[in-house]
Amino acid sequence: MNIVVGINGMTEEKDIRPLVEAGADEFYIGYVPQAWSDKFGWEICPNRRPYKDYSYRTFEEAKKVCDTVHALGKKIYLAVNEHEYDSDRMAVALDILRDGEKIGFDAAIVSNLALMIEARSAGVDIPFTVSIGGGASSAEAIDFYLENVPGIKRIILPRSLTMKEIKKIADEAKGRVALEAFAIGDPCAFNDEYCFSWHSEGCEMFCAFLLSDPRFVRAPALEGNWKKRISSYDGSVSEERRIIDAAARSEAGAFGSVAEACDYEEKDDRSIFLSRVIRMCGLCSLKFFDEWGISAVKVPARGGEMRDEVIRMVKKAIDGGLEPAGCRALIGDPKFCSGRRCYYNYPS
Amino acid sequence: MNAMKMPELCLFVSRVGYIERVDVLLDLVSEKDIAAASNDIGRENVANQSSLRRLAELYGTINRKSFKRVYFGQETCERLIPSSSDISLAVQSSMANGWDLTIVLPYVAPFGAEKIKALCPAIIEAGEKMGSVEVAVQDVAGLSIISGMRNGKVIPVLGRLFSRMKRDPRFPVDSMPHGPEFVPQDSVLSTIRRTSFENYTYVKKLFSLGVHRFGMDALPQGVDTRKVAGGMFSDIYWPWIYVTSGRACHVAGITSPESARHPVDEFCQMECRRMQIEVRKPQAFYSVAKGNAVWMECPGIGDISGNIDRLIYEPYIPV
Repeated sequence: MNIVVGINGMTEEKDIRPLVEAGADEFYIGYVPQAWSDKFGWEICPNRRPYKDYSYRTFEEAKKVCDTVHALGKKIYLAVNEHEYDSDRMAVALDILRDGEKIGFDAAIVSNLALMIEARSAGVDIPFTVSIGGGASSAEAIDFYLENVPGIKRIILPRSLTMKEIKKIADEAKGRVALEAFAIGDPCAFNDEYCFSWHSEGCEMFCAFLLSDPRFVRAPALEGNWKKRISSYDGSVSEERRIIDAAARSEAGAFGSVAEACDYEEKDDRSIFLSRVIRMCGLCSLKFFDEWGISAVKVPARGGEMRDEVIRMVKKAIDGGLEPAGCRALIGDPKFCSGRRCYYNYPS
Repeated sequence: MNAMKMPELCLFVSRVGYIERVDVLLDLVSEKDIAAASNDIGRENVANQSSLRRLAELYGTINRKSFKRVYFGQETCERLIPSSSDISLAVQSSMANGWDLTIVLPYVAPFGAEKIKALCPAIIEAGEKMGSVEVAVQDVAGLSIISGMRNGKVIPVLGRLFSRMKRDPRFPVDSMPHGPEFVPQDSVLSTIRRTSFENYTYVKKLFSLGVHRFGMDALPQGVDTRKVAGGMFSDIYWPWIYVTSGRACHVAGITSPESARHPVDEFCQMECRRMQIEVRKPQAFYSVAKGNAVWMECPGIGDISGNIDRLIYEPYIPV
C-alpha cells in the first residue's frame, strides 16, 4: 500500500527527497495559473485550497516539481478538484488539465462530474483519480463513474465512511479500480463532498465558525399544533419541552468538542506532536486496508510541519502490519488512543 | 424576481404527517401572537410565518391548491429515507390533492444504497398509479439506481446537492477581507452564482440518463441560470438553504457517548426531530444544525436571473 502526500507551492526540490526517504510513494499538488487568478481572483480556487502559497503558480514551477518527483522514481498528481465549474471556470480548468498532461503528471485528481465529462470530450486523456469530493461512497457510485467516465484509474474514498463500509466497497471494487483511503490527519466534522461553505484563507473555516460560541441547543416550544395554541400561549413551557431542553442544554457545551481539540494533555514535545500534527489517528486501520486491497493511503493537507515524521509512522504501521497494540506502542501514549482522537472508532 | 412568469409553486416536506396536515403547515396566525411568543416558538416557526407572508405577496393567498407538486423525502440522511408505506401514503395524499409527486432521496453510503434499491418497487408503483413520478437524487449512486431503472414513469431529477455552488451564511462576499490578488468583485460574484449545468457535453450526458431538471438553493449571492444549457430546467429551493452536512450527526452526538461522536455504525434516536442547535452570530444569516446538516434561512428569495420554472417552498427545514 502506497503513501500519498500533498505538497504545497513552497515545496522545493530539497524538501521532497526527505519525504521520499521517510516513505512517501506518491505526491499531489495544486497549480493555479495566472489565467485563472486574473478571472476569478484568489477567492475561487480550482483545487479547493484558496490559501496563499498552497499552489504552484506557473507552468514552469509545476513542471519542475513534477520532474523532481519523477527523477526520484515516484508519482505525482495534479489536483483540479473544485466542486463546481460554470462554463467560464470550465474553460480554464480544461487548460489546467491540458497543462498537466503536457507536463507529464501521472494523473489528475478531479471531483466534478462535469469536468470529467467535458475533459474527455475535449480530448484530454490524463488519467483521473476521483477525489473525495466526488462522493464515491458506495459500489453504485463507483460503478457510475467507471461506466460514464473513461480513464478513471483510482477512487479516493470519502473519509466519513466506516471501516465496515470501506471493507464492503473494497470487496465490490476489487480488480476494477484502485482505491485510496484516509487514516491520519484531521477529518472535518463535515463531508468534503457535501460541504459548500466558503473554505478560504479570507475567512474562518465554517466548521470552526459554527462550533465556536455563541451557540445553544433548543427544542421548539409549542410543538405539534402550535398555531392553534399560540393565541392562548401564556409563556409556560410544556413538560416535554422542559425535559428535552434540560437534556440538550446540559450537553450543549459538548457539541463543540465534535470537531474542536479534545482534552488531550499536551505535556511535552511528543504529546504536542501527536495532538497538533497527527491530530486524528487511524494507524491501526492500515493493516486492514492493506488486507482489503486498498492501494494507497493519504497523508492529507499540503505542506505542514513534521510531515516526514508522520510519513515514517504510517510507513512503519503498513510495513509492520501492526495490530492495534503495535500501533499504540508506536503512538506511545495510551490516552491518545481513547475517545475522539481515533479516526475510525476502531473498537478497543 | 426578474422572470416575467412566476415559477410553478411546489411544496417540500420531509414527513408524511406534514402532507396529511398541509393546511396546518400553511396557516397564517396573527402577527401579534407571533411577536409575543417569538422567543419561545423558535425561529423555524417564525420563519414559517414570514416566508408564508412573502409567498402570499408573490402568489396571492397560499393554500393547498396553490401547489402543483409536492416534494417528499429527505436529502442528507440515509436513515430518513422514506419507507414504502410512506411513499404509498404520499401517493394517496398527492392524488387526493391533485398534486404531482417528487420523491426526494438523500446521498448515500452502502446502507442507504441498499435502502434505495429496496424502495424501487414502491417507486415504480407510484409511477404507475400517478402516471409518472419524479425522484430527486443527490449523488451519483442515487442517479445510477434511479436512472438504471429505465422506467419511463420514473423520472430522475437532480436535487440541490448536485449543484455544488458555494453556500455560506457569512455571505455577502463583500464582508470578506480582500487579498492582494483581489479582482473586481463582480467577476467573483458572477461565477459563484452559476453552475456546471452550463456545460453542454455534461448536460447531454445527463439527458442520456433521463435527467432534464436540477435543483439550486435561493442563494444569498443570487443564482444565474441564463447560460444553462437548453432543455435543462431548474428548481429553486426557499427559504431554507442547505450549507453542509456530516455523517456524524452532531445533534445525535449531543446525546451520545463521547467516543461515538465520529462516524460509527449504529447510533440514532431521531434527535433531529426533537432538537436543534442554533447559531446566532450578527455577521451571518441565521443558521441551524438540524440532524446531520446545517441550514441557513434566506429571508428573501433574492436575485434570480434566468429561467427557473419551479419554486420549491419549504415550510419547515426538511428534516
